[in-house]
Amino acid sequence: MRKLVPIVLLMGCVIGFIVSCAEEDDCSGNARHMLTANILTVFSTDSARWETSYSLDVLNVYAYGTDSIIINDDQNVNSLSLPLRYNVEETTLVFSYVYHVGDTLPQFYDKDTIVFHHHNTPYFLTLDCNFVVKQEITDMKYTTHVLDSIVIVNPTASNNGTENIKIYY
Amino acid sequence: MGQKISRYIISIVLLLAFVAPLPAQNVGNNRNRQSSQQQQKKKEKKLPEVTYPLMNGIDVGVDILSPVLKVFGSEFMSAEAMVDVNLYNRFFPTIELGYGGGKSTNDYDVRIKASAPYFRLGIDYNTLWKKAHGNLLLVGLRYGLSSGKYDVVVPNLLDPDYEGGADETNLTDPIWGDTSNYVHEGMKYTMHWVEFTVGMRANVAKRIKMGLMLRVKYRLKASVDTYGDPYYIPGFGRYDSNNIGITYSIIYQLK
Repeated sequence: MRKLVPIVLLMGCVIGFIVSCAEEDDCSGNARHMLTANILTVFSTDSARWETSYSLDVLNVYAYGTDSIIINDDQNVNSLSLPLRYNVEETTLVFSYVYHVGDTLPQFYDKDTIVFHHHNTPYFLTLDCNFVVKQEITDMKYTTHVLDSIVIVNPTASNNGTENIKIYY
Repeated sequence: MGQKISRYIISIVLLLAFVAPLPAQNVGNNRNRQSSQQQQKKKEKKLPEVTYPLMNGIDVGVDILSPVLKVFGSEFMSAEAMVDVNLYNRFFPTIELGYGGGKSTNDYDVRIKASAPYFRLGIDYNTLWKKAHGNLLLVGLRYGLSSGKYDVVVPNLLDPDYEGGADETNLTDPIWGDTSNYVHEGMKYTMHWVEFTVGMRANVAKRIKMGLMLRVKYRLKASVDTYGDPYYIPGFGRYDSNNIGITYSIIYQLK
C-alpha cells in the first residue's frame, strides 16, 4: 500500500506536466470569410446550352467609397475572392475592366457595379483566435454593362474557397 | 500566455515536491526492503483470494486539484464531489457533481466569463479486485453533461481613443475601416460528453483514501449560441472536440 501512495502522487505530477504542455490553438479558422466567384460564359445552339470558364483580360475591383483596391490589374482572371463589409450589411464593389486588342495598348474600358446585401454575424472562437465574421448573402443588384448575370450558388461566405457565386459574361 | 507559464511552474513545483523525497527514503530503507521484499512476496503468494460481498461500502470524495490550481493562478475552478458504491470490490457505479466557472481575458481585452453546474455518471472497474490490500486500480467510463451561460464582451471597441488591440480581434474591417461592436452576455450552451478514465485509489489512513483519475474526454454533442463558442465548459475544460482532465480526490469511506 505504501508503494502505491508515492506512485499516485508521482503520476499526478507527471500527467499535470504533460497536460500543461498542450498545444496552442490552431487559428486557421479565423481567416476572413470571402465570397468565391467563378467567371463563366455560356454557349448555346438550337439544341444545346453549355457553360465554360471565361477569363477577363485585366480586372480591377474597388471597394466603393474607399481607396481600397481589392484586385489590382489582375490578368486572365477566371475566379475571384471578394470581401464583404463587417459592420454594414451592404457591400458595393466596382468591377473595372480593361480589354486589349492585340498585345500592348488597352483598347476598351468599362465598369460594372455589384451591390451585395448580406447578414453579418461576428462569432467568438477562442481567446487566442478571437473572432470571425460569418456572412451570408441575402440579395444582390448589379449593372450589366459588361457582365451578363450573376447566380448565387451558396450564400454563405467561407474561408475554404467554396464557390458562392457564378458571374456570367 | 501568463496562464500557461503559471501552469508550467505549478507542475514543476509539484513534481519536485513529490519526487525529491523518494530517493532519500529509498536509500535509508534499501537494505531492509530487499530482505523484507522476499518475505512479503512469499506471504503474498500464500494469501488466498478474497471473496467480497455485494456491498463493500460507499465512498464520498472531493476534488482538491482544481482549488489548488486556482490558488496558483488558474483562471477557472470547479468544486466537485463524488459518490460511488463498491460492489463486489469490482464495480463502482459513480456519480460526480460539480460547479465550475471563472473569468479570463486576452491581450486585446476580449473578456469572457462562464459558470455552470455539471454532472457525470458512470462506472469504474477495479482491476485489482482479487487483492486483499484494498487499493484500487480503476478503469471506467463516464457520461458528462453541463448546461449554463457564458459572456463574451469586447468593451474597448466602444472607445474610439483606444490604442492598439482592437484591430487584432478581427472585428475591425481592414478594407472599410469600420468596427463591429461585440457585447454578448448570457449566451447559452449545453454540452454532452463521454470520458474514458484510468485511476488509482490508495488507503492513506483509516477510512481515508486519496485518488487520482486521468480522464480523456470526447465531445458527443454541443449546442452553442449564434454569436460564439463557449471558451470553458465546467467539468469538461476548454471547449474543443476532445480534452484531457485530471482529478485528485480526498475520499472518505462511509461504511
